[in-house]
Amino acid sequence: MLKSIALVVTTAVLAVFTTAHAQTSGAAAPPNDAQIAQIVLTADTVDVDYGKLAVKKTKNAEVKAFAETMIRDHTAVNDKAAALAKKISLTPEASDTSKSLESNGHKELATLKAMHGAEFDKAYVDNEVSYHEAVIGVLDKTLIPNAKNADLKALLESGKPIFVSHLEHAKELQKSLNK
Amino acid sequence: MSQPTLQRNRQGVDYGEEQNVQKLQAASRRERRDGGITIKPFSLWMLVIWGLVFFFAGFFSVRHGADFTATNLDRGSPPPAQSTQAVQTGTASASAVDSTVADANAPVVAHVAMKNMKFSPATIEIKKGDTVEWTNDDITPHTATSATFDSGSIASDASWRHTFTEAGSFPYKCTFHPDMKAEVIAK
Repeated sequence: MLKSIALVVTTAVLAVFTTAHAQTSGAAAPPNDAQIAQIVLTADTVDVDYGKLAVKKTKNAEVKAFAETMIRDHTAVNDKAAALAKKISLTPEASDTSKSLESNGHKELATLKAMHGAEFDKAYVDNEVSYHEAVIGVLDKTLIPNAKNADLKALLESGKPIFVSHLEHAKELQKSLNK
Repeated sequence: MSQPTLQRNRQGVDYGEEQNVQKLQAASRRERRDGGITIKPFSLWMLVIWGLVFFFAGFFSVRHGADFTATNLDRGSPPPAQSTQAVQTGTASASAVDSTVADANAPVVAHVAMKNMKFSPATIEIKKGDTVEWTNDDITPHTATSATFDSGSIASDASWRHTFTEAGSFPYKCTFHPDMKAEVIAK
């Protein structure tokens, strides 16, 4: 189900990408609410995918518990975002940011898939640290300041402590893995 | 001519007497039967009522730490939606006058919010026998887990209660988010 959605999204993104490329779109225009919604959905989905891979591959109980939390929390945020989009009749719209999040996510996922054991655990957790740092940065600098709809803004603001908590959790894990 | 009249009269009297006797007998029979019927459901109803009274009394004594005279006032917090709570609010409003006396020992429900990935307040002091209710105000699920209690997953907007029947300090955390740590102190 998720895979097929990802496939559809990828094809759609590729199609948009080729047309957008021809237009050489004006550099980094602030995202509108529809684009913000898509960025959130993509960011969450990418992390859920990392988590699912980690649950399958890791033998470390702490890493597994962390990955399960990532799946649980990012699915909850996505459900909330999807419900909100429906409520305010917002159709999420792809943007350069959501596209690069997605393509980078796929690349990283492929890299992680090739790894095993402790090497995988370390690479997964390192990636979670940098990924959450990047997402928090985008949230603070781009998403929250540009969100027009009050409910969407509130959702983004309530999402921030979640990502900060995940980042702290990932950093703790990183420390324990490096011992 | 006179004989038949007399006979008729006598017959009439006799007939009437017999009818009265029959009525009387029937009435006494009815009374006996009726009596049997009215006593039985009366005691049955009393049995049911007393049964319910004892059931709820027992229920409250177990739930609220056997403090039978206490009015189980939910000090400064809204009562949760429960069928038994209706009885509780009844007693609460009835004894509202001497609430200051009842408050001192009545078990209470203290509230802890799970908000922005934190327990708030992080440390809560209660009395032995009090209940703590955790409410999840976040989007993500949380747990309140210690060595002695475990809520399991509490979904967004859901809540969970635990009654502290023993004194002590109970550090707890959210198993999903290890940086979420807090403590209940029961005195």
